[in-house]
Amino acid sequence: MSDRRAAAIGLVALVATGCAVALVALSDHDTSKVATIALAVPVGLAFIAIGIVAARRRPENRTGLLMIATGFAWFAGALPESNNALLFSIGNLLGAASFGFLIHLVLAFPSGRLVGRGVRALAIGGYLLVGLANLGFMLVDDLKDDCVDCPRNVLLVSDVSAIADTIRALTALGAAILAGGVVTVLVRRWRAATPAMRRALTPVFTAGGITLLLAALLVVAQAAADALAPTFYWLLLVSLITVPLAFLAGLLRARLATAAVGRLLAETPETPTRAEAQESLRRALRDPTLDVAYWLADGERFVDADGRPVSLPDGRDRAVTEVQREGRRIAALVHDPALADEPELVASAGAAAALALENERLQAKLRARLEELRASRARIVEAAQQERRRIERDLHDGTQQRLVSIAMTLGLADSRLDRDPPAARSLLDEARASLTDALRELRELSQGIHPGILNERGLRAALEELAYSARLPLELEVALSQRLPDRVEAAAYYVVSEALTNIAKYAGASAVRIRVQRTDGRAVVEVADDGVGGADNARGTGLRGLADRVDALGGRLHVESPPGRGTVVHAEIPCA
Amino acid sequence: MTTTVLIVDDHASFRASARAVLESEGFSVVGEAATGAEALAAIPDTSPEIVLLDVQLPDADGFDLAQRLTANGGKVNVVLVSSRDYSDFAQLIERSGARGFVPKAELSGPRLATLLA
Repeated sequence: MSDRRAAAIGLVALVATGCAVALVALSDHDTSKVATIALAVPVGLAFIAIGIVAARRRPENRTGLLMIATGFAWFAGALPESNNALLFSIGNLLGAASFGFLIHLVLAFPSGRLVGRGVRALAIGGYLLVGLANLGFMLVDDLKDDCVDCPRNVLLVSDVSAIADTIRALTALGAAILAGGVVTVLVRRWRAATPAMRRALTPVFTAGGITLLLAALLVVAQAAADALAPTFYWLLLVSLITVPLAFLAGLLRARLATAAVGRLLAETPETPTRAEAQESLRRALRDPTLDVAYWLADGERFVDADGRPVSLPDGRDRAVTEVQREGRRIAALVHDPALADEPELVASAGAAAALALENERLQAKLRARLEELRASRARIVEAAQQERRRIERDLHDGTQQRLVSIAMTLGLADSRLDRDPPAARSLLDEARASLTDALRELRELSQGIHPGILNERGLRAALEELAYSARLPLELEVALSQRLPDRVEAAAYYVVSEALTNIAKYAGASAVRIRVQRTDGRAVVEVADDGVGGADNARGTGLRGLADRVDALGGRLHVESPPGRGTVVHAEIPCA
Repeated sequence: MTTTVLIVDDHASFRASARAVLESEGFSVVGEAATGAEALAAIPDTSPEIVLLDVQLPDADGFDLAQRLTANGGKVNVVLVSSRDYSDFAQLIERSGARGFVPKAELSGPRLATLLA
């Protein structure tokens, strides 16, 4: 709401106040003018003034406008004080309209929207009751029963007290049902609300609920011509003023809470220990369920204070407020949706905590990195274990069985040596052939454990052999003036070896280019093919194992493999 | 009357070598099995006097199988074999109910005969 519009509404409200005061003061039939002015004027002004404040703070929330409407309808309720018959009649017809708005206002709190069919029906019922009941009554009652000095009722068709009494009784019944329905809705809502939400609901629900109950009691007492009716009337006036004050309390609470947040966070050290900012925010916003998720830009993900990945909720059960620092996203606050009704509060808390959150974010980033390293180390150990099992299996099933067989063949040859020398000779030949095979298997096995040529002749020679036996159309370029450290050579060798194995298995490539060079103290290894692409670093255990191996040396392995556009495996390994 | 043998081992090369050795030394190899299941199926058909049983089969543990075959006064003689050494399995061999153990590389007719004596 703009300043100009707020000022205009304020001006109109003052004019309406003046008119209402004049109507009461000049009234020939009001017997308690001072009390009426003293209680009724503050009620109307409070609704309008606090409504303007609320509408300016939350233009998108209809609560403020409903309060302003309630206030003006309330001033219209002064018209029955008029000595003019037409104004008196219109006043009596519209006199209760403010209660229609009040029911709407309370039911729509705090969102300003009526949610649910039953709630909408109650609000419509309220408007119908305050409109139609008075109209029906005024058609058949001269309004002189309690007020002989009152002006003429211009809507009167015929004074039929039997019908008037029936309408009065039905109105009382309707008011009782309506008040009961509204109070039931409020109690249910309150019970279903979270603690944070209850703090916001309690003042408004209490003041609104009591006021509407008193209004219903007044209508019932009037219908029964009970002596308590005037008492209920004065109680209602007093109770009415508490309603806008309850709304004001809510607005002030947000302000006070913002100040409290500032104070609490000022006590939070700028370099907090783990999740200290989260604790401060929980206390400041009085939401024990609040969680902080820290943003890691390089990983494009959120982590908790321990560096473990977390995903933000997208349901209605939780609300999320992003915290930025110097234009960059640093964290997200995951909190009770009740706080979403006070976005400035959460935002200012986030802003006040930004520096502490940024420091925690850096710690969380470090922990996330440690977590990655721990996982990668576990995978390396597991891979080594699997490798040992494989070697044991290969030795047992291959070489060992062959040697067993050779031993048995030699035993057989030995037993035949005397009686059948030719058979013994053929057994010896068989044993020698088996030994040759066993030797070949052993060589292959040890080559798999660590290629001997790499130790003896270096990376270039080892890669040349690898390229030769790969049987792929291949271009190899090794630009190294001196040998790399052993572990770097081995990692580089396995990067190329694994990449070539994958190319042979999956890529269907027609050209492969291998480049190895040393740049800025790093060995850079790149294997590019023009095959089908679509390789996934996270999917294949081979690539994952390679990434771990390179990672363990402080390097980085990057695989680029868009579907249909070839694959580039790029590794950079520090040589120091 | 020759002694009948069933060879149970998942390595075909060992089965072939063992058959050659034993047959040349007067045993009669009445069948071969590569798994525990195959062995259990072959025993009623071939009624071997000796089951030459590898301690590690793809579908069964040789020691367990030996225990099953020798329990309840079973008539069959089980001789366990392995490419490993006796000392690797001493306790398991003792408890298995087998007549004995021969390292594969040392398998021979006289060795088997000694165990059965």
